[in-house]
Amino acid sequence: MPSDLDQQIEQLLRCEPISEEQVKRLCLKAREILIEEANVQVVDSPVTFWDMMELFKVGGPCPETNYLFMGDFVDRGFYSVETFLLLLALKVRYPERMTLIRGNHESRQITQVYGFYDECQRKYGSSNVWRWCCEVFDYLALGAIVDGRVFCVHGGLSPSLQSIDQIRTIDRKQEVPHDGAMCDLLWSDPDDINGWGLSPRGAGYLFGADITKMFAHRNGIDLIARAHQLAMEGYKLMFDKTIVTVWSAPNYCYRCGNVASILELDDYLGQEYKVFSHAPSAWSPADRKRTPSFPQDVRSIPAKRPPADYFL
Amino acid sequence: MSAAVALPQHRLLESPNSRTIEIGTWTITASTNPISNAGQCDALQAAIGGIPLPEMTFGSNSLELEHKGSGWKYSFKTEDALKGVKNGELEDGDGGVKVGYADAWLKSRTSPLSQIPMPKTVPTKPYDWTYTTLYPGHLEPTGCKAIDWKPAERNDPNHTIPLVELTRHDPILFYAEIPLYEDELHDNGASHLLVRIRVMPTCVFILQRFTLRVDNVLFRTYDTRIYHSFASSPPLVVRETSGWEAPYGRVKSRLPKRDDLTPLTDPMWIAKILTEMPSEISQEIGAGTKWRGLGTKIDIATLQ
Amino acid sequence: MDPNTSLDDIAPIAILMDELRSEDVQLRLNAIHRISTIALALGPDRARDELIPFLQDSVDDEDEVLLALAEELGRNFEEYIGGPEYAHVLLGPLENLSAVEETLVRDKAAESITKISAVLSQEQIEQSYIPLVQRLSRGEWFTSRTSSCALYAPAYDKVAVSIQDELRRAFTALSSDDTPMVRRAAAKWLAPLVKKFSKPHVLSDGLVIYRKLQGDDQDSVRLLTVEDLIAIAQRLSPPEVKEQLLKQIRQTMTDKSWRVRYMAASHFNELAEVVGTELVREELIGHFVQLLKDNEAEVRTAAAGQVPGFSKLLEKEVVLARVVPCVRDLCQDVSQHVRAALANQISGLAPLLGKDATIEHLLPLFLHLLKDEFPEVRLNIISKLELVNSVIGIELLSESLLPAIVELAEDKSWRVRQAIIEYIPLLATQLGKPFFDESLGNLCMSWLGDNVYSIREAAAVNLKKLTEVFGVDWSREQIVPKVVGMGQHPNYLYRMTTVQAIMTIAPSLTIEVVRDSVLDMLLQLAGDPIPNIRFNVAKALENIATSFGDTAAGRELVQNKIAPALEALKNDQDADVRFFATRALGKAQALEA
Repeated sequence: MPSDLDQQIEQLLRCEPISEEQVKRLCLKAREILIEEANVQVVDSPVTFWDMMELFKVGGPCPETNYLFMGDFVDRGFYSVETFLLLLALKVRYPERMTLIRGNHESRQITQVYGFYDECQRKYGSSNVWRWCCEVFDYLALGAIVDGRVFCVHGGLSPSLQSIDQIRTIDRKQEVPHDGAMCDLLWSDPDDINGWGLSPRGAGYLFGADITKMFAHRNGIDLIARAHQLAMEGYKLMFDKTIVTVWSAPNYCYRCGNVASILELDDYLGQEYKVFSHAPSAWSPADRKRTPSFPQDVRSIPAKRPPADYFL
Repeated sequence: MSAAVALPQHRLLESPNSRTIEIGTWTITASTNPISNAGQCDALQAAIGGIPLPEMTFGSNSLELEHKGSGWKYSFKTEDALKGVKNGELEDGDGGVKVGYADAWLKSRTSPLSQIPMPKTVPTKPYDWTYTTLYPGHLEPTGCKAIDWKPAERNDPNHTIPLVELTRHDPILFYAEIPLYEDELHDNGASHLLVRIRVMPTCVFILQRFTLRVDNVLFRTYDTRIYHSFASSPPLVVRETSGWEAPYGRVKSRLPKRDDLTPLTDPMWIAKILTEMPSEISQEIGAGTKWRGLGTKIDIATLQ
Repeated sequence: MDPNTSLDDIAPIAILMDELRSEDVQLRLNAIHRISTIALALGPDRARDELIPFLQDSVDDEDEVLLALAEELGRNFEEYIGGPEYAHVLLGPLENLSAVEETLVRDKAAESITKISAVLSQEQIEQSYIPLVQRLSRGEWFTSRTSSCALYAPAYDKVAVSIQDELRRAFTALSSDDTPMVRRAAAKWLAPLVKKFSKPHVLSDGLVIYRKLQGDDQDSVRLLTVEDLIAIAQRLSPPEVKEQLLKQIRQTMTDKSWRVRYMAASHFNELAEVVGTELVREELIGHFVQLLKDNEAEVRTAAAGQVPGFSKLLEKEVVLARVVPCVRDLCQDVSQHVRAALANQISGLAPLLGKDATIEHLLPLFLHLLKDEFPEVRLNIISKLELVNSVIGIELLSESLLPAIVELAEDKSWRVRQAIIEYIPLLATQLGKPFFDESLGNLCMSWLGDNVYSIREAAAVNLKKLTEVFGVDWSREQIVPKVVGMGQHPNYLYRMTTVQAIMTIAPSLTIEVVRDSVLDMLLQLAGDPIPNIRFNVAKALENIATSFGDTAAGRELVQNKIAPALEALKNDQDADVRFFATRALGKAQALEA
């Protein structure tokens, strides 16, 4: 088993997709492992494939370094299938070294709009791979706690949850609902208010410094680490360093020019934020995109600038 | 055909984050930078009255035009565009909307049978979370004197944007795309503001396009076009602003392939569909939000 | 048809037809990808008589499906329809595909037709291929005319002289087509065609076509003629080039469209190599200088990439007088892409200029670029320093560059730090032990504590290479104590680095050093509270066992120390530690046996 899986990991590390049959077996195996995991598992956000390789170069490979990824594995970049399957293969091969928690993009509805569904269709010619991956999403943990003192979650807190123990009682094995505590954990955001606020969008919560500090105090934790929002400097500490947003996608959407970071915790939970920028351009996502409108015989012209367009 | 168009004298200047063309009495500079860092964001947020900034705010990007003859300076800048976003309770004409599942979400929290009652909430800052703006660029106060925009004369052929000239494939002397901001509305859609410019041998043409998608609710486009012909005398600038809107389902039904939703994320495709609809639908009824941006208006400025 | 045909035989084509009519694009696409299987099932006769005509009629589908069809037909499909003597049958459907609107489909169809042409006999070429080329060339819609351009070169040398005359005439007509897309295709495919012309025809026809295209009013056509220019110049003698092409060379180099100048700049050396030295000296040097000073950064970037290649064709004095001043300006260029391209190439000038001129003219530029604000520029300079080293000698290089290198060793871009590390063993070889220990020794150890994993890894590899350069005794004194010392560090990352560095260096040490100075620390770390350290200890022990297991002393070490430690780790509470310990033990025991 490890040798098969090791081979698939090698293949995925080269950004080559594995076969549909292998995906199916991998997803089944992943579910077996994930089903045993608690809602709250004992470092991170949306990643594109090559940037994840960069992340491993900075932070060290798995299993040498333990990793905790804080959701939104898919929908970004041209290789989100490879990205998610690699993380999943590493999870199955080294369950103790790799922790994956669910982000709001790990949902059937969101992946249909933001690209993962299309990518699976394009690469495998059917929606099977997407379906199997979605089944795995339903089994991903909702949060994780590191050595009892750092609580990790994709979005944030929920007014219906006072303690981490309450999270453990949620029936998580379902599509992300539009309401309830599970939805809040994946969607809510910290904000400069006191107490709870209602998002101006008409759905979703904002939570203030008092709520954050109270939660930390009641549960005996030092830090809440979350993802879900872009941070230009790679991370953003708020509320007297009781909560941090960690962002691990450098040059988001291939054009933001932001840096990303990994939060590294040492033996004593000392925090170091390792900032990194996007992988150098030995590869070009533009090559993979079909642009029939651009005359193919001038493709040797550099494309650093957007091609001039007779827009009207 | 390009041989028919004489290339006017011009000079191109370049630095890592900006490009400039000097042509005739015009100096035009496009600046493109990474998204703003935390310090810049804080300053920008304070400057626009405290509303949360779009996720991707290109706070240092801009397009600046200067007409040396008259001292007229006109710009497109992120900060000024964001000042056009409603800050405060949304009122009639602002075209405010909620996300598609807002009612269901609220009901689940407030119904007497609810298992998860709503906590006591504090008011959060009200603002237009869709970042809709009617900003059409702005006059720089440092320009020599104020030259006002006046409504175009309906029958003056110079007071229009000449499509024939603009569809002609003359050589493009200067081209830039300058994103001002983008936000994915917390995965409920997308809001974009992008400025594009092309300087042609005979004219300058700018399109600033705001595009909004709110999933299962609506699509909205607001375009500002600026046109100046080098041949106009006295120098004339034509500005056309137009807004369109349609319910989400109506646009979605025009998808070329049923199960491929990617065109819904393409501002060009969205604008094409909205403008192809009869204008009494997309420019008068819209998505029923009573948004004041619907319709088309042409203004002119004479630079002398 | 065989009268005994059963329902089963009909099935494949019926199913294919059904699938090709399916609503679902994916099903249609799958069906196309299976056509070789279906052809195999049908047998060559029916594949030819039924399948091919059917495919020929199905050119009304999504581009994606057509693209797949064009591709499948070019994959030695003749094998399924009776071999090369029937290969011309495939041209039918491909001809239709060559006329569709989508460029990708047309290109793929032309590519497949070209592949098929290779297996056709002269008779097949003249009876089937050439008429196809003629029909496409006269097509009413520009798409087929565009596709036809690609098909001239593959067949030109396979047909009778009279047909060759016709082909040249037809291609000439295409190069004056009203549609720019067709002229663009003609410009693109002229170069391979000219290579097949006889010399007189290069002069009589090739030149005419080229000159016409080179004077096109569309820059997208003109930029494609740069490669035609090179192909034609290759066929002419230097005096002929001067006589026939000088005007066009001048026009291309000074074209008003930057895209044309960009193409000229990026192919500059290819051209310079075929025009003869006289023209290089009289004409091209001037253009080269102009391209290096072009208004457009893209053009300057492309020209900068050609600097050493072109300078090779010049006298040293000319390089100094004309090229070096431009290079000096480019070091200050406003565009970082230009500076990066230059940094990548500038070292190539050192061997051409020799020691003194390099010291005088290039060294200051290296120092300047080493301090550039963009990491890519710094990186490019460092990775090419070896060339300079061989010209001016290590002493001078280290004297002037060492301070800059030490500074870059702490660069904030980890890729720059990595490039410096990779350069260290070479520097060490040339500096010698005492000088190295004094100036770089501490630096090498400090990288082991870098906060980027790849740097720590590179630091370990560097120590291994240094061990190979300076010998095991040096390593035992200078390196091993420091590496082992880090194993006591309270932060697990340092302890981890100790384990991984030992794993890397051990094979270059001797069994005595491993036994006396290294192993105890590893065995101590086998009891570390962090499982990641413990399984890396298992990996390191495996590495030592396999490196030294072929000696008696090595086997003894395995038996007495390594195997017992691994036995203990085999029962660890952590699954990964158990896995790696078991694997290591297996390998160690295999050695003993």
